Amino acid sequence: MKFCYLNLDKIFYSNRKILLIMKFNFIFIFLFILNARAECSLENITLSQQNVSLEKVFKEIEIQSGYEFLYNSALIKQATALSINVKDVSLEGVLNLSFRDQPLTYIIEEKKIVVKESNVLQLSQPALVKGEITDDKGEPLFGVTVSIKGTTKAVKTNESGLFSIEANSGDVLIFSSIGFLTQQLTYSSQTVLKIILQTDDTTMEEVVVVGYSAKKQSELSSSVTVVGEQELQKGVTSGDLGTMLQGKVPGLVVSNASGHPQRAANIVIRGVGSIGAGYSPLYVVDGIIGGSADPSDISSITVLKDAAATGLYGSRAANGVIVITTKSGQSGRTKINYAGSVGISEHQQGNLSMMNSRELYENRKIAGLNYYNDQVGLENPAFIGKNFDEYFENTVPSSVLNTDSYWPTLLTRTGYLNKHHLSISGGGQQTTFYLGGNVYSEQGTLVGEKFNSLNLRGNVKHQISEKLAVSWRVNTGFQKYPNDPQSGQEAVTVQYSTNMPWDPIYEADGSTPYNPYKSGPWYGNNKANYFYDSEHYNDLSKELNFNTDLQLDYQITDWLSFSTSNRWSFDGSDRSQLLDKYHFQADFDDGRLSQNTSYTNTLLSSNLLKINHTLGDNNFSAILGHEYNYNKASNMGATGVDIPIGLDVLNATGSPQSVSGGRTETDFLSYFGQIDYNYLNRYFLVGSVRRDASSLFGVNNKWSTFYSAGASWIINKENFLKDVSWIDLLKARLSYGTTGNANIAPYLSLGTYAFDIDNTYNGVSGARPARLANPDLTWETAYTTNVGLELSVFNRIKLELDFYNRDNKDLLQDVPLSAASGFPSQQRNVGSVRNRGIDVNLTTVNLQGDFRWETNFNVNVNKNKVLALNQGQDIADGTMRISEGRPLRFLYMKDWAGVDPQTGDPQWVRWEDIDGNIIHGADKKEPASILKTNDYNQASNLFVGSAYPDFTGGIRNDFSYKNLSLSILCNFVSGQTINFAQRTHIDDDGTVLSKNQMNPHKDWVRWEKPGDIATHPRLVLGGNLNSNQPSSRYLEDASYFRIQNVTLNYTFSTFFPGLSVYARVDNLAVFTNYSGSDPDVNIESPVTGQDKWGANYGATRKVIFGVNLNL
Amino acid sequence: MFLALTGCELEYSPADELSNEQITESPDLLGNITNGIYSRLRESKYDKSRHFLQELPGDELAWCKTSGDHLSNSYTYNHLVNSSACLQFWQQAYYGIYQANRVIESVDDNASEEILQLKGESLFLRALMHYDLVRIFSRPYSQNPEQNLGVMIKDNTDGNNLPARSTVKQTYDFIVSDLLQAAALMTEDKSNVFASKEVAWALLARIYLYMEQNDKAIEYADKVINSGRYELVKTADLGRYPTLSPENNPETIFAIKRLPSENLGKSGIGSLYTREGWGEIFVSKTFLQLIYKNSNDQRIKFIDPDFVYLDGKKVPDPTEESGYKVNKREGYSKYFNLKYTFQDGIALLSSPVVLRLAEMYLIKAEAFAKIPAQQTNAIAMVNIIRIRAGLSGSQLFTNSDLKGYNSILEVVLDERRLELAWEGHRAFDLFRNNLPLDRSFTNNEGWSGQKKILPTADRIIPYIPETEITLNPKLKQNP
Repeated sequence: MKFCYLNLDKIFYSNRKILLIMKFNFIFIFLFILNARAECSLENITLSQQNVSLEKVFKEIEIQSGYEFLYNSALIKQATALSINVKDVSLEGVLNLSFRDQPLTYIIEEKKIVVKESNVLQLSQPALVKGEITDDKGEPLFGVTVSIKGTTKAVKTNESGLFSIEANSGDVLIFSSIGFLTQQLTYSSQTVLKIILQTDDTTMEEVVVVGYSAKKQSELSSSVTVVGEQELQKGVTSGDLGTMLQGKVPGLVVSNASGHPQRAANIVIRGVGSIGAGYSPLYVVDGIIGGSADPSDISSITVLKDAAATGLYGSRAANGVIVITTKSGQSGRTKINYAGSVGISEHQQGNLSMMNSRELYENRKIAGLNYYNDQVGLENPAFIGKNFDEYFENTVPSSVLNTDSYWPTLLTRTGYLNKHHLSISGGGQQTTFYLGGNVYSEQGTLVGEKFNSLNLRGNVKHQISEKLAVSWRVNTGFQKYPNDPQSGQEAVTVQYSTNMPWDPIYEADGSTPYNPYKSGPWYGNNKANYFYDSEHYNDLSKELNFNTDLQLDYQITDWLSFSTSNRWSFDGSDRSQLLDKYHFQADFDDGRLSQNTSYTNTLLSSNLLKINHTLGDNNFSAILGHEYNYNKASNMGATGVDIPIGLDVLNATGSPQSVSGGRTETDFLSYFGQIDYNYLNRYFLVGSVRRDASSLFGVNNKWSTFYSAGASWIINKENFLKDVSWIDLLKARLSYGTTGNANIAPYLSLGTYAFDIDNTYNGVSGARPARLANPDLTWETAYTTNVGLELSVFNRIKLELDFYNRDNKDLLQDVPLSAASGFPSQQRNVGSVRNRGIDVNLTTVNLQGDFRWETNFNVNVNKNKVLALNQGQDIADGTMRISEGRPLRFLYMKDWAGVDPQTGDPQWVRWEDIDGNIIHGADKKEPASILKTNDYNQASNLFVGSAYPDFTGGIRNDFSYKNLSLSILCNFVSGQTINFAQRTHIDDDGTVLSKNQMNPHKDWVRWEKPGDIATHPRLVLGGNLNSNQPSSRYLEDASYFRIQNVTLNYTFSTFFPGLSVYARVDNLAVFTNYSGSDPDVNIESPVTGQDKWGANYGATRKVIFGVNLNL
Repeated sequence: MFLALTGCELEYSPADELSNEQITESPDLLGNITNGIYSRLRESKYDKSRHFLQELPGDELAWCKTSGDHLSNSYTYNHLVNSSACLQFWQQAYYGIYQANRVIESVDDNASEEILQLKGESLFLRALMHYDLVRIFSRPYSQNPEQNLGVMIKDNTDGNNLPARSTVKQTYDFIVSDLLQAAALMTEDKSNVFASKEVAWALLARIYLYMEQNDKAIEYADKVINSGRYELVKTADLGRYPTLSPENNPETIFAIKRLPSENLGKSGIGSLYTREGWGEIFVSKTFLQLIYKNSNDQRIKFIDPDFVYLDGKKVPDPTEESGYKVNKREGYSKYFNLKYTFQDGIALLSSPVVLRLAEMYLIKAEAFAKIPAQQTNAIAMVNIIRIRAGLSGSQLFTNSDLKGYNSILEVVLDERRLELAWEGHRAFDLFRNNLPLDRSFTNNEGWSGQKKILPTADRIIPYIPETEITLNPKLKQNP
């Protein structure tokens, strides 16, 4: 089988190939259309006859359809003349019209139409009842059971929601489907029924888009969680999807939801199994890997967690898959939706409180006194005859108290946000469309932080013929935000906590920013005054992303279809940084301007052959697929120096300083197949195989095969349970499979020489060995087992339990090397990591009726363990260490042994062997003795604790009374550990004079006199024996419970139908004992989340008012 | 067929990289790899760490603050096993050594002169990096070199070969052998920002001095002096020394070239020393006392006092060596030093000098001072340097008038201090001569370091980075 896909890259490079491909595509599309037209001339009929005999109509139908009429000519004479006017109508439709008022009826047998008398006798005979079943939005419903009460007779609706069943007058028809309220109807004589089923929220049955196909949740053998549009929009207002998913999906841990307006949150599904290949899940938008969508345009999100679900995405699904389906139009009335919200945000400082001028002075004075007394005690001649006040006034003049700059307040402000989304959707019989546009702007609570975005989406689907449909989707987004150009010590988040309250912000005139570089006192370590510097820089990033999909679906026969989806994505970014000649980072260059642009082109073609077949009670479906993915990224940058004030283009710079530019290319090729089978819609089996190759890997190991198998059993359909009416659903699931992870940089298998700007010398290009070659580099593979149970009872309680075990093997690791090897590290496949855990998702309807109360509770317990590493060797990773038998993120550092009650000295744990030599945790030896030492360098490095939480989860309570609803979303994390590294600077026991200090947390005790049992050593100016060096002293339990969101909504039903208004508060409260600003840090990097220099920019509190209008 | 049509490759080579085969088959590209070794020298992680790890333990400057990169631990002798500055320097040096080994291994002895020159340069760079490592991480050669540990000698590209630390003697012997071979292979006179045989001789002269092979030190210093390639800059130009780019400076033997486009600005070496940068490190009181003894000493021009002005005029102050009131910070008078600034007039740009001719005279002076029969020659060498500094008459030493110094060696060492100030020599000069270092100039407030550092103290050298011991357990930690 050969598939077609557009390869735009080649179009750029080879004209000859363009022609070939265009030809190829053209022929392909043409053949499809041709085929489709031939089909429709066989089936559909066009008639325009006025007042003619029925016989004449039959003749015409015979010609057009190829069917033959059989009838008694005496009988036909009873027929009355008729007028008929139809265009492209099905045979059955024309026949129904023709026989409508006749005393006759018909039966189709093979290619013959038998005409019979519709006599009295027939009334007692069953009539063929036809009908269409839709939901309340007019969407046809597939798989609705239509049964006749008291009989075993039952049929199901097809994809178009149509059914036909034989019924007698007076029979009671029952229409039932999971997720909808069951309806009954007493049949009289109608031949065509139009049934509208009302959704039944209590059973929560949804059609789940699982990537390459869509299934009903009850039919799934895999562990998935669906977040529908409404649920997604409930809760936090953000432009970031991760932030909006927080607390809604069991097993999905969203962390570091920063207060930065544009910062994306980290998403981890069921724990991290990879060391070097990342933990981000794979995103699939509208059936195609990659792409992007604004949260406002999303109609549903499906989180795929086990191998049966992710298997088909095998190659890159080891971290789970998030499937996003964007909104589409429905035939019928054009719908307009407007959603708008405005709000304000407040900066959150949590338990962190910095000292003011007086507090810092008093703190340093105690430290100074202790130092003074020590020196006098040591009989230091410089202190003899000098009193303390004199000494301290010389060290810290009391005039510092004349200034009290409280930087945490000065550097923050009230933020605001503004979001408007407008969409129009609708369509006719053949064409449907959805157009959505969104503008979002947010001013952050830290000075200078801003974010603006614009997003436009257009989804169009056109049914070219009954068999062929074309879909075209375009999504484009634009984002603009300023960067903080003062990284490192001068960043705003650093100034927030370390700038000194003794340093003035403005000159005496109160409005001219104080320049910390001018002669005069500046006590702060970093000579940075945001208010001075901000007048001399401009640093702006702009990002544009654009993706467009062309999809063709062709129904070859009723059981076989072909679908090709082709996407081109373009992502571009542009950053311009101007520092003028008064800015401290560019004064030596007379001002500096840097501009960088980068863009990425991605092409993806996915081609599927889908098979659906039913044989009696056996239902089969299968997919055969082929996928190709090509990615090319390029960038270019230039820097010029000596730029006049007021200008900001490179042309205006006096001299060029540097240029840079690069390009990378990667591709993936995949073949895959999947078979689904079910018997009686009760027993389900699914299996898939996928074979993948990628340019990322070494010549010896480019290809790999992934597979999965799953089974499920709807137990309550069995005879022994089917009469237990209170069980709505009881289902067991089991799956096993392998998935891959290829989330590494390109070229890592090649041992090449790199030319780079950093490698030049004296203006001549230079090369350095880029890395050690690894021709065996290959896919990282996850082996996942999932056992699940779903139970729904009384239409009110639904419980989902999943137990999983995922072993990631052949881990892609950047293994650190001794410097003697010539390289910092090498990318290898070594080791394995296990994640084992339980997901629980419980939804209960506590109260029904006018006052309704629903609760959703989800929790995930995940245990992470490193099973094997490169020949058992640990991997040192800063203050963490990866080691066999321990969780992946395990803190490894000097272990704090408390404060010596006699001296107030800091103490750390020292392990010694039998000979009194120091040993470390990594030596994997049992200590002969465990001692305490006050010498930091003589303390052992030890494994001090896992960073991972014991469990995480969310609770949502929804209350509604008539048109009023209230939703409260909370999330919680228990047992996670943060290395609050910033305390080495702001809780330093007197080490330096030039950084502000935090006020002690409520549980802290400072040592003051012998006998004190304290958490904090004696304050000494100049430092107390390295007490502030990194150690487990600064590890904190960062468990928390957060009221993430409270929303009050009112929907108008009479005054202005379609209008709803709401008020919501994000991040209402956090309950935690953590001493920092926000305990929600990236648990995969618990150190960088709380950088030693800077304060964490935690989530802000937002108060938002919004309207939603449907027309 | 379809795959061919769409060009599915599954193989891409990096746009900015070349394969080993492409490189080693081309002499031009071998030049690029050698250039890549030099580029390692100018990386901040090498160059800046090297400079401060050598300079901060000395007595020529005073630092009013602490730094987060652990450099200030070298200043206070309060070393940490996990010092980021030490780790960065250690790693960069061995990466550079590995690069040099790549070139050395790929050139056989029958290669053309041009290629052998590249091999010679690589041998020099390998020796220089081993020397920088052993100088910083190991005890002086004068202290039990056959027992004390040097550094890992890495002379091959086998990534699995992780050596233990050789002794100090073995390390020095290896460096000497490399330098001798390098000098023999190099025939081209590239500019003084590249290695040549004279550069190798100059480093040999210094190393022989460190090894106390004084005759050899004199021999190699003479080879450099007599090569005629270098001359001392004129007295009038001395104060402008750092402002000349190395190629325009006749005295510089070897410097690490930094172009204006490679200016690190506030992150560079000079930034901590000058008012244009962070300006946190000042000239020490004891050094000021020494240099201001002769107010016409041209080397005072390397000092830039931050004078207090009143009505546009300096304010006289007899307590200051400069004679005028100077702004203070944390109790230290702000005398900046200008040795790492204003190359080509660009404020924070400098190409640090590794070897220069004046040092050759001072190497000879010290070697003569240590050979009892030739001590009298030492004063002549010192006077060459003093005359060049603008001193004359009674400001010069004679063998009969040591102007209060107790020995000729003391005279030589103070002259080295004056001439080579802030060039990374002072602490080594004292400790290798078994002399203590005096830190009495540090303020009492906030200073937790020692006032007198003995040459026998464990902590005159930092710790071997703990991370590297983890990756190569054969490495033994310094006591």
